[in-house]
Amino acid sequence: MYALQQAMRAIRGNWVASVATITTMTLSLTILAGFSLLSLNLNQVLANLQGELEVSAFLGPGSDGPRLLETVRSWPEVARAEYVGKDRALAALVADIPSLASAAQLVDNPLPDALALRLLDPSQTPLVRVRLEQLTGVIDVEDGSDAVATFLAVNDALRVLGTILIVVLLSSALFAIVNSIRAAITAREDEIEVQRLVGATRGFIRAPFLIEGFLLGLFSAVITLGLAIPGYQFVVARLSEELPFVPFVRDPLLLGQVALLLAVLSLLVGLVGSAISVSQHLRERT
Amino acid sequence: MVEFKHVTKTYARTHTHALKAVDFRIRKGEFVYIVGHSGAGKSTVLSLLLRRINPTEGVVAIAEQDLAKLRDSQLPLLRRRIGMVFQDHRLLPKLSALDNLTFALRATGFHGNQEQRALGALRQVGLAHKRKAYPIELSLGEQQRVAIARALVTNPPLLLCDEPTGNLDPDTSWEILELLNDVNIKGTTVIVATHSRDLVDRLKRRTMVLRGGELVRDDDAGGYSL
Repeated sequence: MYALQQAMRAIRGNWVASVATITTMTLSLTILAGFSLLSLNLNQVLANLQGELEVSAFLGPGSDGPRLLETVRSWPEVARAEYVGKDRALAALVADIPSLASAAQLVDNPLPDALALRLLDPSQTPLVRVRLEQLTGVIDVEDGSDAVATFLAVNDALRVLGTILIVVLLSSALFAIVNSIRAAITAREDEIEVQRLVGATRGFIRAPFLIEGFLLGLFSAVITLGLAIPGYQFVVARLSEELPFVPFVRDPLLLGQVALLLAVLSLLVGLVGSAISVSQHLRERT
Repeated sequence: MVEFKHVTKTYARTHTHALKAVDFRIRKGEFVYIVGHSGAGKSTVLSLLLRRINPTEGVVAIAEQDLAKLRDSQLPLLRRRIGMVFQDHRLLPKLSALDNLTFALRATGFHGNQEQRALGALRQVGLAHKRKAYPIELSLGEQQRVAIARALVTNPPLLLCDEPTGNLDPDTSWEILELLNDVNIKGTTVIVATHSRDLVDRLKRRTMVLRGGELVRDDDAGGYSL
């Protein structure tokens, strides 16, 4: 209780440094929160994209579609396969692009018959593609792996950038705490000297500073979450109107986990920062 | 109670030989002056007793315990058995006289009635009526009395005083010395580091003289002679 009182007194007494520290930490954590949520959404979009990935095998004229369909259905990698005749393919194309309707009536249907496959695991697309190409009657194979590869590359680059950002931002937050606690220790040097002389334990002397670091982390976490979560919900609500096909992350459990992670990170930075400062500046040298 | 066995202390950074092979023993209940000019090694003796520093060679022991062998976690227990008074009193300016004492009690984990105990110590130094005064509202002599009360509030068996009268006029110095003598009569071992010839000659007690880090005289009869 005494340590808590001392920590609160130090935060109030040195309020300029405390506000500066909380601001630095809040900014760092808010950027981290934004980046985490962006990464989470990209992963969700990617998972969705991969889940909807279809492999199409185009068949040459005179191919035995039903037999080929039976063959691919027997493959363990294939979750679902169906035969798409060229008339059905043209109808689907016209449905997607209505302006083609009149053109379609002027010429013969140029589309081939095809097999449409959904795989159990999208990562097996290259393997299935090779096997399809080896089948007699298959003249071409198409899959969305190029698009997915591009998306994955972007996601990987963001992950690297995110890691660098995390290190830089957490370091700045950590230094802010270390400096703030150092200032608090300097301000209380006389008290610490008296405490040492009369025989205060190390824990008694250090506790107020560790609690101060913890409290600065706690305040920063509360402000960050107060900004980040409602801010995210607002942005998602607005973007959903413009981009209704994008599957934004809205799962409260997942968002709760992000919030919890940020809070724990903030408290850890507070505690570790104060522990570093305390071990540097409260060491007794004999 | 206190023993120095062939103690040498060299400050490596400045290559200063603060103490050179010093031997002495102080019995429980003694009143001892350590005298010498500035730089003679008086403060080093006190710092060694508080284990703020370790000797370069030799053994510093209190109650047969070699202080160099104490773990850091044991230092608070050692210091709770030693009261310390400085020339500049080191009172906390934002705390009243009474609060300076309760601050010390709280730091040592005293569980009884802190205010009552602190008031008792202030009474012992004749300043119970000034318990609410802040250090700045007290005279230098009163400030030093409060510092002595703070050193005594935990009932330590050993009291160390580093130039306790250094900032005081002769009359006030004598009052402080009488107070320390009273404390000693009640059973506390008192070690006073000073360079005040008047005090040592006025209240004659065992006197150890340091010169250039060496113990050049240890005289039970007392009196100042360098």
